[in-house]
Amino acid sequence: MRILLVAEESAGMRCLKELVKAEHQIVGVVASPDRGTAKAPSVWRTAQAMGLRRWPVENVRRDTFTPTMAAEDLDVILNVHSLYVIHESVLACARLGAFNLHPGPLPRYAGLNAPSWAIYNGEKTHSVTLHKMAAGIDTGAIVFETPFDIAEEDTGLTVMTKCIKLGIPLIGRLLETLDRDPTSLPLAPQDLSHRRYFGREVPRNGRLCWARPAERIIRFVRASDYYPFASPWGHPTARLNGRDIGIVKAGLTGRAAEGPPGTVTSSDPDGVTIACVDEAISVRAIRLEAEVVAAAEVFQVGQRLHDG
Amino acid sequence: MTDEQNLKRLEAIFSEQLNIAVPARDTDLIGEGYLDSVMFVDLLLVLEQEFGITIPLEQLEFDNFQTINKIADFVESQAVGLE
Repeated sequence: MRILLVAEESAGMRCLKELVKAEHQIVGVVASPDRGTAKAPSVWRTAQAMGLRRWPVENVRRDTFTPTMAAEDLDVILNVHSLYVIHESVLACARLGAFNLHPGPLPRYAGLNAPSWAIYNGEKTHSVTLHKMAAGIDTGAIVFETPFDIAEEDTGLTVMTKCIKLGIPLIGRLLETLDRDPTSLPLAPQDLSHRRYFGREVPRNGRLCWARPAERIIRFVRASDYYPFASPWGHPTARLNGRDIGIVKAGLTGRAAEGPPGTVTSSDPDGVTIACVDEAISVRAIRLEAEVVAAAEVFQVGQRLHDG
Repeated sequence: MTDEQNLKRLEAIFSEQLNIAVPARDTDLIGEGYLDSVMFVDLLLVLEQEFGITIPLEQLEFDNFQTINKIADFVESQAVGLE
């Protein structure tokens, strides 16, 4: 099959490599030329090293790209973690359809940062979804979906990683099915009355409120945790002595709070205990300006952090 | 597999599969920008495939992936756990 891959990020990288390994005919790759670094390659540079044709990702938004794609006799377009909306006339160039790998269950977690929103909302399960692309973001019929549990220790990074690990095989299944019998591909329409779309917004503008229950605060911290890598949400921020402090690593203690919300009530090398409105939490790492440091090196018992 | 064999295998994984040119076995991969979030996830999946191990994501300790030396130790510890 002749495949156009529109891809970014870890999932896109992994998909590209799996397609090459499976010896699929990759017509070309659409990605951002300016991602990655001199040391850590991007999808674009990896495709370049593989000798694949490449087009800058902005092209997919425009119908001016359609004639180029129409000339390629495409069977399938695969969209993997690319954030650009593909023009519907470009989608139509794929004989068997265009398909998107989405790191979240649909229709309840459409849009961006689904893994983080799921943790923030206290979900106990999540899933990765492969769906046919239609007009509208993440609206098309569901082809395959793999659910998994969200563990208490899971973070934004680990849930995203699980989505990639479980999602890439769905693409293999899709291509096998299309190759064998395209009419047998399951296509379950979404009930869009249950749709929730998440954009670029960050909960509470990234500001932490100590008057909230400890469990909600910890969920916010975990949802934002992509450490040691950059988080799409930054870190929930409190204020101390006029400075913003990002809470990077924290957990529940199971102990009642022993002071007003935001008060540092104890400290040891592993972390500091901070009172919330109900329970105490243990904060192990914080971001102060550009650096992540141990909370115990910065906070002192008796200090009171304020809301962000 | 000996430590040296694992180390050589990891060096090959970095250069041939991940297309990352790591200068030395003790190079700080994350601190010096050789592993970003994209390549880190790719590395985890490649390690699982190549060494037949399962990396428990909920207990991910990034110290284990700081250098090629440490990754070799980690892979060895996971493989021993399987025996």
